[in-house]
Amino acid sequence: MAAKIAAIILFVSMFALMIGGRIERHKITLATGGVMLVLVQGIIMKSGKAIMDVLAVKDLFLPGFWFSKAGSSGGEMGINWATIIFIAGMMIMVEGLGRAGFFKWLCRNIAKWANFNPKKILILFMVLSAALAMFIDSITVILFLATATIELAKILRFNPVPMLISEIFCANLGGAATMCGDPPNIIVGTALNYSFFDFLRNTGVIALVGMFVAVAFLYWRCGKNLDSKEIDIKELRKSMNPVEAIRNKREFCISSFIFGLSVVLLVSHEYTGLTVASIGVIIGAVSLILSRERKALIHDIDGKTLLFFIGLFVVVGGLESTHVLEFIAESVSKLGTGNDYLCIIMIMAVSAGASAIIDNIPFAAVMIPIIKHISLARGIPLDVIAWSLSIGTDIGGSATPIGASANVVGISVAGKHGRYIGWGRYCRDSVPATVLVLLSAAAVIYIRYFAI
Amino acid sequence: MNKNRILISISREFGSGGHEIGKIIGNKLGIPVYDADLLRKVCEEYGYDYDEWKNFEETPRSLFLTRAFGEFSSVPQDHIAEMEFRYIGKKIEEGKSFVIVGRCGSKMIKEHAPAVRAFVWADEDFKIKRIMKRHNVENDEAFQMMKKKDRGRRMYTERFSEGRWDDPKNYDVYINSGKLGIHATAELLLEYVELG
Repeated sequence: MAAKIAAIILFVSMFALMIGGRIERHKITLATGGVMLVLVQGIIMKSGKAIMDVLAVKDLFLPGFWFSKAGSSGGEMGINWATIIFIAGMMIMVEGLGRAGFFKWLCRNIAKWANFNPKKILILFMVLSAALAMFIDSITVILFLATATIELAKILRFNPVPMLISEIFCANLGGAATMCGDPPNIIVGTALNYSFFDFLRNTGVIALVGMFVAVAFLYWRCGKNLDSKEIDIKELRKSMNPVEAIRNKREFCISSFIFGLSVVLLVSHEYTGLTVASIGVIIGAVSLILSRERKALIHDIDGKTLLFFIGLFVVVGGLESTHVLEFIAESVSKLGTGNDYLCIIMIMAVSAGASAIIDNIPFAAVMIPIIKHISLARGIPLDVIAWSLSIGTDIGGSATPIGASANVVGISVAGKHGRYIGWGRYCRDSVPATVLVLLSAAAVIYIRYFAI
Repeated sequence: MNKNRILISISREFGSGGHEIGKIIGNKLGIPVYDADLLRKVCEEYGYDYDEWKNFEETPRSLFLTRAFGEFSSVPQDHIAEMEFRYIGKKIEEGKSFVIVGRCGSKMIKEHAPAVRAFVWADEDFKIKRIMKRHNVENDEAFQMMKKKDRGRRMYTERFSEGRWDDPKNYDVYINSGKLGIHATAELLLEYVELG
């Protein structure tokens, strides 16, 4: 009992400190994780095995960790090393793309293709945002897209805020479509051994339907404020040459090739047997071998984010080893008593509501053992619960300015350019869009898993 | 180092007269004073909408409604600070002299010389009397205003600078304006500037 209470206190304290924002979040999760290991697993439980289970170093030596057809891949509890390695590899690749000018080149090409018409740019940037976020983390997508949007808004003289909110929303939605699109999906996918295609066939379909709903709604809401001013388009086409965005042609070609390679490896990993950990290593290694800027690529790896994940997994692993999450699972499994569909919708709604106000990454990590328990207790297929959890956490995060990291990045980029996006302005578009997309997701879940 | 210019920051408790002291020093030296109108000037220079930002200056961050990680932040106070730092940084780079009142001015000029960083404080009675007169409010309301404003200044400053807002170690001069009065305090600070 003492272990359970201590674990809960530590977990709640971690969240409180993260909300406080005075201490960097990787320091909070690492410190909480350290205290959890020493105090809960070490002093109270006196269990060296529990500590080793949480650290999960043995997973790295399992053949199945690197090659899915070679047996168990581990990842049942504690640090999810597959997530860490995959994110690190993708970070190196994305850094290479950014340095080469890939995103700027892409945005300029699309703006040119849209003939610099703000309404067309709105639709194309929403689609681009979702498409890129399927493979690249939404933080990077929004960082580049928001900068390009503000640059275009200055030239074309329109208010970039509605477009930024639409792009953020679509990045989160696109991220929901694949296993690698959003951190909660990577965590769910690696912990429950789902493939890229498992996600694409399930959350991908839900996100695609949601995308039609979101684009239609956001275009209706935001498009009317995007009137074209009198701009000399011919002059603009000449002055805004996408090729000028390319910083280094060699690096551009290499990073584009590696991006293509990562897509191919991810799409085919169910058949090749390569796990996301292997893909992360391959992509990272190829990027470093081929690039002439390898020192800069290594230097710019966001180590703080990786440490944040490690600390978080230790905390959640610590909670798991005390069996405290089973208590929560017992209560949650009673949701929508007697009706499995209602239970699924409740999980999606609760995930969405929680993710709108707290960080969805720790939430997803905590929910994994809980949904396993619910699946066993209620006899609902685990994958259906996992998809509703992913969709809930990914889309719910879109509702508020603090729900997902991409939202904070978009608001931050806007703020750096003197555009204030407060709760009122943000939620005016995002809340109805979130509700509509969640309703469409509920409909797709019913049709796919319950009606047929 | 540009010997012809002088940078002065005045951090101050609400009601201590720091604003007036800054004005007197600025007028005597014939240099601009950046005070409550700094944000307006920043917005004018960069073409930003002042009305969108004005309510967040020198106020505490809302813990539950904002999030920040790494270099990214949804905290409006962070964006205001960044704009003001950029604006003041440019003035420093151009070799301009100025007095800056509040707004993390001490941090902005810390690495530059010649610079004087002052903190003006006063006894509670002195401050409350001034607040009552200036804002035409009763004693209790003046007290609440003082607490609220100082909390905002403390949180704003400590978010962007190291150390405590009212720690004398962070300043060159730490002065009680209630002892000598506003004008004499300004004169004393001017003398300090001239001697420096």
